Amino acid sequence: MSIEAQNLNVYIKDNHILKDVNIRLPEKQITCIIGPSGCGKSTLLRTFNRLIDSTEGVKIEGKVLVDGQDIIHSGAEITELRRKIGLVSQRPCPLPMSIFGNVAYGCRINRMFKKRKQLIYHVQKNLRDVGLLDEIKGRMHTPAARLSIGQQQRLCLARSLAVQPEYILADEATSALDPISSKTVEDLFVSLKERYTIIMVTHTLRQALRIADNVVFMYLGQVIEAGPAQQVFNHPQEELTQKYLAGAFS
Amino acid sequence: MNIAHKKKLKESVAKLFMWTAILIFFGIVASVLWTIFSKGCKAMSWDMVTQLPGGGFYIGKEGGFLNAIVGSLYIVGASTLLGLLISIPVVFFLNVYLKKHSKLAYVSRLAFDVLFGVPSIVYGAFGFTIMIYFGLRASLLGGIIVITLLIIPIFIRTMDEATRNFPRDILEASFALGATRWETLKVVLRQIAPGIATATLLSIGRAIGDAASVMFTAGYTDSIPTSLSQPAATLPLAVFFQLSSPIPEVVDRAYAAALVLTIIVLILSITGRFITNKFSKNKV
Repeated sequence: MSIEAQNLNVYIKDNHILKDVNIRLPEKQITCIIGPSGCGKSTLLRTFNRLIDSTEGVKIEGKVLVDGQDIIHSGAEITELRRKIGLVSQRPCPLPMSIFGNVAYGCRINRMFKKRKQLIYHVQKNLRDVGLLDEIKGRMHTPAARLSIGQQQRLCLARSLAVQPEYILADEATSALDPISSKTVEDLFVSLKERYTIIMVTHTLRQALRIADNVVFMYLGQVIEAGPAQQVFNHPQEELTQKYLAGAFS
Repeated sequence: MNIAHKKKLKESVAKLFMWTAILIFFGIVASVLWTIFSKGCKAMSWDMVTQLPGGGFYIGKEGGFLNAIVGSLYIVGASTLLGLLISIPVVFFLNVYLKKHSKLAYVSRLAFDVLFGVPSIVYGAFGFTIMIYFGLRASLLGGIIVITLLIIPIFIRTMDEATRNFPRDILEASFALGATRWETLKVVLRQIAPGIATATLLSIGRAIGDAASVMFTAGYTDSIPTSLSQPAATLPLAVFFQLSSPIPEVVDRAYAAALVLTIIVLILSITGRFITNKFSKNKV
């Protein structure tokens, strides 16, 4: 149960975005991918659940192993892969449905429940897990777009969790939120790592410092350094990592 | 004259232009409505909308134009449904399946723009030729098909406009949950519901008011069609035929038919708006 990239190269049109990436992301931990803007963090994340397929002119070389299976070339069932890997994007993006509908959507398309009662119970459970259930009591069937941004982001998390994934990808999931919501979501991720493997792209070093078990530092499409957070933050081996951590560039 | 003064003058001139334009526009709308209502009400009666034309209807004797009302509703209802069935998949394909700069999408949009501009008489002539080829006579089916062809470009162009700005994030959010593109259609439909409603209203407006395309294809009859192969009367043709009559009573009835046509469009527009508001409450 892990995600592993082997000799991964990604090109978009003529740009070489990811260069020979070799990493293994340990399970049931939070791995933070850090690095300056445009270094390929998001591309790497989008390769893991193959959302990158919808980008124009994309070419992928090498392997990405999810649970030991190569997802790039094996002709793996892409919808099952995406169910297994939840995604929380940068800006919360509720579907044009009610709050209930948002969480139930994934369960419905994956045909998880036969009875409506089970579905309702499942939706409530997931909303409770992200601390939304009490906040939205009685507003279950109002449009999701009316929630605050922070609430929307937690709703998106609940929506991802509802399809029972094994991995959660978070692409700067807290960057659009106010400090309090941001803290709530961050704490949620920490509490979720017992059950899920979490891979988080983050822009803020301090966030990575707070929650990461593992850190991957990327620069210009290459993985410069990867390892346990303690080691990377306290004793970075590479000069570039040292400079980045010291704030020489961001 | 100082600058501030000049600016003020420019502003007032611009304002004057806008007000004149708006007043002219309202004047036109009001005079059209006034003509239809004042002339139409003279001949309007309960019989007009509940009776079929009697023996001497077209020389001013008893009867009504229920045949045209029902015929128009049949044709518009059926062709709107058919139009939706055909255009929704097209719009979905253009916006979700094809890449953003796809050549096929470009050519298709160009084609629909051309079709959009084709006058309805050309559709009528086209339908007529096809019908002759297949040995069909003017019929309800012929009218439905030609009207469907007429409104498909309106449907597609209007819905396409509404869908092109569809947030990519929503698509990805749906895909990320393991949805196929087909399953994502449900999400897209919910988001563009207002666009679909607008498209439907525009299409119905065009479909119900068009005389040229149904003249040769649906024909005209004094009875209500009971099968697809029978000819069907339509309101625009009821207006057209009666308006060209030398008998004043019959001409008044043309205005009554126009009044009914206007009221139907009005009712559809208002309910359409109402339904749209209901559907679009979940829009992100």
